[in-house]
Amino acid sequence: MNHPKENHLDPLRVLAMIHAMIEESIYHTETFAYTLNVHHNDKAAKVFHLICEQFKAEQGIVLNGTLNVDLPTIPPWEEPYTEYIHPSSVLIHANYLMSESEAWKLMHEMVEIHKRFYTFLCKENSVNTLFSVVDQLVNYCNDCGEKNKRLEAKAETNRSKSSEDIDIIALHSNEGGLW
Amino acid sequence: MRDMTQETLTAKDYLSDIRPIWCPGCGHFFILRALAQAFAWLKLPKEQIGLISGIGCSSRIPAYINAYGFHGVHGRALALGTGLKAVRPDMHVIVAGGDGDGYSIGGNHFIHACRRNMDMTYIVMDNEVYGMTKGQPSPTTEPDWESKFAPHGTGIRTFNPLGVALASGASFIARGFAGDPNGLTKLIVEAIEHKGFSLVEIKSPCVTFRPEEKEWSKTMRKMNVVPTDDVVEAARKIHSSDGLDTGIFYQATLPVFEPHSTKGKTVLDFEKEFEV
Amino acid sequence: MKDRIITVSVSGSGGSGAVTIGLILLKSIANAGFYGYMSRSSGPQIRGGESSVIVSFSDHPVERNADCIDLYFALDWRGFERFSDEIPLNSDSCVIFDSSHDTLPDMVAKTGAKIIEVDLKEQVKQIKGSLPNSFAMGILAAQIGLSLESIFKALQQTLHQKDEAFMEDTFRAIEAGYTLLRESPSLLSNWQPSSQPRWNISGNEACGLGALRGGIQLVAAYPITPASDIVEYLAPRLEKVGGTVLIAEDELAAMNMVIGGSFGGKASMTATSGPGISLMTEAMGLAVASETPALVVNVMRGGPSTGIPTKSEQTDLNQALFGMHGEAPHVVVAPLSIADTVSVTQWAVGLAEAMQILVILLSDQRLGQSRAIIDAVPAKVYGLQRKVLAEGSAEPYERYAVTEDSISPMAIPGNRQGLYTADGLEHTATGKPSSMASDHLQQLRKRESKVAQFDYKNEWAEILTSGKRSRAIVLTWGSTFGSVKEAVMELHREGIAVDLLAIRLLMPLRVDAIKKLCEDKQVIVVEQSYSGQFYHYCLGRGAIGASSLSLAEAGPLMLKKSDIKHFIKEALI
Ligand SMILES: Cc1ncc(C[n+]2csc(CCOP(=O)(O)OP(=O)(O)O)c2C)c(N)n1
Ligand code: SF4
Repeated sequence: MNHPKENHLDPLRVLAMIHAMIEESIYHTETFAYTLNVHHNDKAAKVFHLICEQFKAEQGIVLNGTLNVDLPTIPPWEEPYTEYIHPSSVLIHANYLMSESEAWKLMHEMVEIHKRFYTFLCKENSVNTLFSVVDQLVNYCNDCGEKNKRLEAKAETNRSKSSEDIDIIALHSNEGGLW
Repeated sequence: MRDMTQETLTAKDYLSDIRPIWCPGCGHFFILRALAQAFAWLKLPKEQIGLISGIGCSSRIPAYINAYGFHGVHGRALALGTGLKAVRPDMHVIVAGGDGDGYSIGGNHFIHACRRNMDMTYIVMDNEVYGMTKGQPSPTTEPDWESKFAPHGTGIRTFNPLGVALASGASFIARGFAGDPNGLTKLIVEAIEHKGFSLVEIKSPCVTFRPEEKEWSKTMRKMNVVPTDDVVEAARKIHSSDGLDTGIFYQATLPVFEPHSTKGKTVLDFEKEFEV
Repeated sequence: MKDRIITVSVSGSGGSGAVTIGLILLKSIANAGFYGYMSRSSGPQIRGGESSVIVSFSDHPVERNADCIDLYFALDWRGFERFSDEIPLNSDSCVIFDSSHDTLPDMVAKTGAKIIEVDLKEQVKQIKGSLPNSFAMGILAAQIGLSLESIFKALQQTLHQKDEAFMEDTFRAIEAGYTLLRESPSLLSNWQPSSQPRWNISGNEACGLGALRGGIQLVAAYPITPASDIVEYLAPRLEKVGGTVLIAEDELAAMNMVIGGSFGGKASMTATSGPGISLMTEAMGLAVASETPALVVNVMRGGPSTGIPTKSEQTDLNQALFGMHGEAPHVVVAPLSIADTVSVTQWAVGLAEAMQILVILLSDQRLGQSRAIIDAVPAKVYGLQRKVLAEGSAEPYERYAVTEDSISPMAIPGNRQGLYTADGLEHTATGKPSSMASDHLQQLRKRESKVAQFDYKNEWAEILTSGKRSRAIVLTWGSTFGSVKEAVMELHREGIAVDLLAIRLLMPLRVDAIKKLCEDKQVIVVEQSYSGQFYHYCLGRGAIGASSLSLAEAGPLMLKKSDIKHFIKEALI
């Protein structure tokens, strides 16, 4: 993929990439929360939903910090640094039967992807004031991390349902079942 | 092709209010998102997109995209898309579906759509299984994969979509992976920008019936293929690949089928031919 | 020849030029101011098989061949037994044959026909560069009483030959043939030439023309006998009026292409025959469910399976009516003659567009591949158009909204306000897939009622009454109409009052209207099927009563006027 080194520290591009990354996370957690609900796995859905709300707040920080600037449009395939992984890539391990605790584990990994990006940026450090946004993001993630840890500890570890209980394509949704 | 005069749209603008109900983890989710990203990057006017599909889990996709769509019958999406493109060359015709839909029941249309090389994009969400009908082997399933439908495996070698596309005359042939959303978005953008028939064959794990396909996130190689416009070179690449390479295998400028209709006669002119 | 109709047949093995003689005869008849009708039959060989033509002509429009041949020219007798049953001869017939290489077959001698032998080989020797069929042409012209002038003109129109020497030799041969036999009185002496503008057109061309008039913009098809002529007629023409012909890889593709084109906003159709219809059936259901306008023309041939590809039958009726799975309300129409095919096809395009529905048009090999001299068919104004979503409409768009006439405005791609996904899955009014009982019922009702409440005007049938109180009424449809009409008119001339009801709109069947017309009358249903499909359909729908009679005969031989007449008379006793 493209890793335009010299662009890394152009603060506007960096913020645009952060914005894009969080958008992806919001979309996918929201979408997965919905489909988990449809598959009657409300416990896991709730976890996805909660994290989605946190991502939305995280995006709020970015938007607040860039109120008076126009973020550039970055090609959606551009990756900020070599080790970057797309936050949605952990979701392949989601499962309609997953337990609440498994859901937490996945969400945790997703948040970690965000954090890794921010940490990378802090290391590369820059004096530009816009980068203060990154500091705020790191702090926010840490706060959430603490809260989440407590919730995760209380989460159920058993899978409440077996594959026999649930039809693959939400048979009971209005969209109908198998074609 | 990216139209800078168009207002900036985001992926969100291209996603409809209907939310996907695929199994959590299904690769199709990421393909849907990549498709919306590609549309947004290209700034395609929504009303100029025709997203055509057949039947299958994957073929549900038009309902989730905010554009013109047609959710037709199993295996015939390419034919329907061909009809649309023939009368509406101004439309961006994107055909999407599964490996069963495209390579099995729709196999003949696949060959002939490649041959026609009309300017459209074909997105195959290949999970090497029939998801919607609960896990029967498809043409891309390995011969020894055991299932209820084929307890001893099919015993039939797998179908090579890229090879068939090349032999049939497609002018853009690529493989992508649902677990690499960025690479995938780029492939889709390039496929849409390409003039001619573009095949984007996407490995998309069916986490429910082929949970082992989750391993693909470790084994698939990200965008490692270097494109060529040489058929022989492309054939070598396609046939020597273990199926885990991604990128554009072949892209060339080939004659594109475009109906040559003119205006200039009226029905009255033809009626005269019958006069005695 | 009481009703001033002459029927001539020519046959011969491949390359003998039988069909060319037929075409030239038909043209010269047209040039002389008369009407004609030509059917043809050929052996199963692709090229070079035996072929025969039957040309009937008259000074009034004819749209069928007479029951018996007046004049028959056998260029040779090879393969004759294969279509002898299609060339009915009797003691009134006159048979001319080339005696230079064949003797008269027993089966012909037995008919009692008058036999004339000519030695064409001898003739050909006399004029270098001439062909036997040119002499035959001349002989026939003289026997009929057609002027040499009209033959020469027709020859020039048909052959477009640049080689002047060849034309010269051919003219001389025809002239020689003309004077070869003893002069006979012209059969046309008291005929009135028509001054009407007339057309020389085949049924399949008529279908193509009707499609053009209806505004078809896309034809997608896969070749099949006897429907390919329609596509071959349209291919070079449609593209000149802004349309497109797509050569599909199979009929499954063709039907889906039609749906794609129609979804794109353009009136679209396909043309095929039985085997193709079988392959299209699934997608035809898609057109119904997704409410996408589509016209499917079925030029019927004998079935089942590959059946009798080159010959006619009316046996795809059940399939056209009931072929789709689930409940799939749609429209089935059938033209009654070549001239009717022009208008019914135009009408069918309009019905499909106006109701956003699948329309099946049933023609058949006899109708499609026969050629006739007919009065020019004026274009009709049906006023049938697609109800399209206006640009810039403000309301949130519901593709399958329930409306008063059950037809919802259709958004055409490109319209910003109309984004939607068409679906073959059952859906809600917005088009979202749904398996809910209430949505299914709502949409089923809507699809059913748009067809049921549509105003089909007078087009639904052709009604012929005797002017007196009739005791019987004959029901028929499609190409059978030609023979039935002649039978009924002859009965009228004999003073027997019988009504005729020929139905164009087969689905939805106008049950109440039919019932009213049949009231207190002996109903006789005539059709070309072995099992009486049309009869059982009318009976099943309650359009006719249990005492109705069925005259149903399998193809491929045309139902004879005399047999129909006889059946009606028997029924009236
Ligand atoms: C004519 C017909 N035959 C069979 C089916 C049943 N059917 C529905 S989807 C499907 C296969 C879907 O597999 P694929 O196209 O690979 O898509 P996936 O569900 O895996 O995404 C089948 C066989 C059908 N709908 N229509
Ligand atoms: S069955 Fe397989 S293909 Fe279908 S939605 Fe589930 S994971 Fe995806």
